Amino acid sequence: MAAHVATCEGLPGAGGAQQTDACELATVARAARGDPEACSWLLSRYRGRVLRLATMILRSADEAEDAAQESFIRAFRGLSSFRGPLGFYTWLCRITVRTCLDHQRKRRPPRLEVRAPHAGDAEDAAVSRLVVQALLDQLSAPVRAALVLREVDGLEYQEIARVVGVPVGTVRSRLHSARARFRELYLDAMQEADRV
Amino acid sequence: MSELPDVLEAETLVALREGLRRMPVPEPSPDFDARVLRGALRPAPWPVRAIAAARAVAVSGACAAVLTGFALHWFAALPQPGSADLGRSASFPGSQRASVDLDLLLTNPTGVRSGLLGSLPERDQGGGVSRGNGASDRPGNTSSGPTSPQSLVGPMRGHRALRVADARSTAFGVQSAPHIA
Repeated sequence: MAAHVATCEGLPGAGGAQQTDACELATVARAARGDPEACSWLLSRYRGRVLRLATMILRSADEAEDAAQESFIRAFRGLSSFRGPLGFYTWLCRITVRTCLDHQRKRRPPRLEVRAPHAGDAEDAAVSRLVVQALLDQLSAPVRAALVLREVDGLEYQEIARVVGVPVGTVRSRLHSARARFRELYLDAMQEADRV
Repeated sequence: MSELPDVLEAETLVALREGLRRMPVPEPSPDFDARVLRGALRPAPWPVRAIAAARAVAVSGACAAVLTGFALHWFAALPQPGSADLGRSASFPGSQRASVDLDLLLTNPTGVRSGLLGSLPERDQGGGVSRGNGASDRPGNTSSGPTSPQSLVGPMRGHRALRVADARSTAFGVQSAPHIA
């Protein structure tokens, strides 16, 4: 098993997407049988992305970690219901979004964490980061999830629709509105920065 | 000039992506993986497993009951062989019902006596033609017994069937007796 995992880790970029997918599916099958090495490999591969998605949806680091852990536990326990065509990451994202929405429903009121820009950031980057924070605070949790899945993870609209559980047209229109809103905020922020 | 909005839109899209990627993501705690593995690989407690098993059994039983109910209902709705109701249905009005009767008669001439046939002429015991309602056109003949197969087939197959029936009656001295119910 250790050799198998090591082979899988060497694949991305060299073996192509299909070989990686086949390797991933084999690992998922092993994890479904309760192989801890296979679970560890999946964890190391997707931990960061799931944590980022949870952080963007919940806007709280502590809750995001809890939600990410719960998502992985749910995913590993439900691996027998995983079907290949959806893709493991898309399937995992769906579980993560549902778990985060459950967490958000339980928590009242939402805690917002606004961070100051890092000292090393360039000015434009700092502005865009602050504007993104402001934008994320204005969006609903499913739209935040859709935005991250599209703009950061590069998922297709159909995959996002499956993850979030809304029609593809709704995903398109909501993302279009979110981008338009970001544009307004960003232009305002840039003008203000020029004035200062 | 028309390219300016596109450029601006592309710029803001890049800024949006950069901003999202630069958003701080918390470092997972050192025991993140261990806690996940402990939670995922630990067998579920026995009440959870019992509920899951009971639910599977209940769902299977419900499906089986529904299928059995459908099957029984379907068998009960089937007409019995030789039943007078064979092919009769309230959903076939008028001419449609007559068509159904004709079809059934052609496929099973001895088992059907219904609908349109009741109004067709039939042969009585004396060889005459009587009305389907039992009123003979010959005086003295009040036969209203069961219908012979010849008299059922006669109207449907035309004169040929009538001639066959007459020939049999003459040759064997047997009248088209009501021997078939």
